[in-house]
Amino acid sequence: MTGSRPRDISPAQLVMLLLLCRLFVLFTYTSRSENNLSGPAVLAAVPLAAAGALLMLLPFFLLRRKAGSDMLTAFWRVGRPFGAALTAACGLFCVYMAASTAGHFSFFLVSTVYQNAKQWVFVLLFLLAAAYAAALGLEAFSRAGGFFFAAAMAAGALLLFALLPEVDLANLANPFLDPGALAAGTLRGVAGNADILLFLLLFPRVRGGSGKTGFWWVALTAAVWWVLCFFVLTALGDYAGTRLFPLQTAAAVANLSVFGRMDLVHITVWIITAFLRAAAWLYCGCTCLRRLFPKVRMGAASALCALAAGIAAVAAAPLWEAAGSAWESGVPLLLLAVAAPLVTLCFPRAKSPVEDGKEAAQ
Amino acid sequence: MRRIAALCAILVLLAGCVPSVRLNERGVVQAIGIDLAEEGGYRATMQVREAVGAAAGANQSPEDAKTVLVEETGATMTELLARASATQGRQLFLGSVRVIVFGQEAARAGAEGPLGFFNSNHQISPATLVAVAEGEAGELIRAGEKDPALSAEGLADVLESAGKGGFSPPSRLKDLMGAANAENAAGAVTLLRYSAPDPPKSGSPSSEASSEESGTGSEARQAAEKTPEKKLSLGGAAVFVGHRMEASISPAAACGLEWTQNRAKACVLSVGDGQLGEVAAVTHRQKAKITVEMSGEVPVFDIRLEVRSTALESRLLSGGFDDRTRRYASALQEIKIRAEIEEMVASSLRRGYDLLGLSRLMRQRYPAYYEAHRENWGEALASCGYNVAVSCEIDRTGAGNR
Repeated sequence: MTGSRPRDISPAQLVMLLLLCRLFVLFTYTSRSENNLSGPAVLAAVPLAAAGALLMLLPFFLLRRKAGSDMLTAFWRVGRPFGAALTAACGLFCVYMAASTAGHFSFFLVSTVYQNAKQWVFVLLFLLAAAYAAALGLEAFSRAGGFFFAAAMAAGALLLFALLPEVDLANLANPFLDPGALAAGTLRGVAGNADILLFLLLFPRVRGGSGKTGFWWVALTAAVWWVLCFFVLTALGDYAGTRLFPLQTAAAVANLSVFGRMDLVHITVWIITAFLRAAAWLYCGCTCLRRLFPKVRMGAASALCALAAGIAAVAAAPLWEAAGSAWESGVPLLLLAVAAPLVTLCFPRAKSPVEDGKEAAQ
Repeated sequence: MRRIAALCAILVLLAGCVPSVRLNERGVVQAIGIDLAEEGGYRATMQVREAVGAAAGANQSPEDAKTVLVEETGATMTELLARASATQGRQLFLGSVRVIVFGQEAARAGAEGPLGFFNSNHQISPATLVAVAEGEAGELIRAGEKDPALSAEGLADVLESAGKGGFSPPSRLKDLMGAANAENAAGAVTLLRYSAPDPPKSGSPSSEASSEESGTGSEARQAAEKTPEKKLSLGGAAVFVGHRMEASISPAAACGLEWTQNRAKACVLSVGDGQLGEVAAVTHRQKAKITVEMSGEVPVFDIRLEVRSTALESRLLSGGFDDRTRRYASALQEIKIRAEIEEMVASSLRRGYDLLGLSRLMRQRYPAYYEAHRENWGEALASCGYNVAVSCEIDRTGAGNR
């Protein structure tokens, strides 16, 4: 513990937090959003996308060797305009992802549970809670993430156990029959993995973090994702393509005599993952904002980011759809998570003073 | 801590921002029958449970709620339900729907509208039971008002029991919509028959006996011709291609379908002839496998089935239930099951209806053949070869049987 700052988190806490954040995407996965991917092909796309995600982490770890774990600090060492531009871009990306999370949250609730409710009510309540959690700091909601991770895994195991009688292996097909669709699905899986940037921004706050942390996060997430997809595909088959939320449908089909329908369990777990994901993105947005304006306090930064996310989620619908298409193409993520670290590496000034000190001593 | 408590209190108070409907302002729909309306569109007959009086809650006694029949028409299901809500003065809740029954005419005309509505409505569970009624669905639903066996629970029990007993396919919304969404597949749901049993023919001993008992002349004729009560029975299965009912298969063929899909778990097999007597057994293990091989240019599907059963009752003409009797009874079981499967093949696969999902099997084993026949898969299916091999064994006997 000597040398570690207070309020840092452990690698396991980061892995659990990010796994839950990724689960949110799966829980709100819509069959219609993956138009180019046939159902069974997703089982091959998941491990391939995981390999792609590991490749995307490589530039960061290369930068880390020279410039330390804090990517934002490395940007600022290159120069103020360079650092400010990239920090602002990261901050905007974080606010967008928090808004996206809130938007998906409210969309799911008004689609499946409260069909007559106003969407803005859910966005307001949701971002209020997430902003408060972000203001409390990373350690606070990461600790909660550990507890929720255990609950989510237990709920998932219960759900899969209840789905066992519905599993029909005849619903599986050769995932390599359509290589074009498989490639498109893999690219979409990699490009849509925005949590990679979340990992890069939170990694400096991990006590004793290393490349293994990234590997375990990607591997565990891919394993959980694969198992859930397998059960959804084999239990629902072609029916999954007719439903807006296949995993929620599978939970509705799953039936245990004690609990009845399992979709209530699904909704509970999903709300928790949505809350943690929004809190994490807002926290990273606050971090970026405070790098640009160091005098802003954490509470105020959190409120500002939540306000921006709320406006984006509710009011700017036409802009939202245009921005959403651009963001989801993966180009911003590639620029921030891959290109930015690689470009930063090219600048000798980006090197950490500790690294400079070591070279001088030699 | 105080801030957290204050935040929680605010969040709880904000619950009033979400519109809500009290239970006694709701009509809980339990069964829906869909028919074609004379003026176009659909006519729905619904069994709706309504709370009586102001007290309505989870601990409501049966006297506090009553089931009413609601009939309404509309061009679409959304319009129909909106009208029904307005005329009833209650918001209809679909989350407790147990059974959806389509009239045969409506099913043959195409049920895409209603099925799409039910499938996209998240109140309705994907496991909701769906059936087709020979004749009008409304008549069946209306009968449930007086006959508890035809209430929503009664119909659901019938459908679930028929599915578990291997008499009809699992008739769930998920199965039908899955087949409708699959390429080149056909779906099947239970076909319900609500009709009076055939009256005894004049000149038969039963009709003469009844006329003697009731007297002579017109009174006897009236007694003999008195319409017996209608009863619910299983009429086999309705075959859907997409969202339209295209054909039906007999009860025996429906049983054959269940055998091939490993779904006839606790199925009763009663066999007998003039040599054996009668033996009734219940299956306890079943394994079906379908494979395909090409014989020249023609695919040949092998349907192999192994069944193990427990003999529970026997009425033998001679001797006890020895090994020879057991083998003979098993052979009769094989003949019966093979006949049911062959009838299923003749009435569905030979007519181009892929109830077994053979298109998936061909896509995996012979993708080139499937691609070449993708557009006319029904015709290709009709010309394929089918071999049926059944192996039955009565390996257990109930107490008292030797």
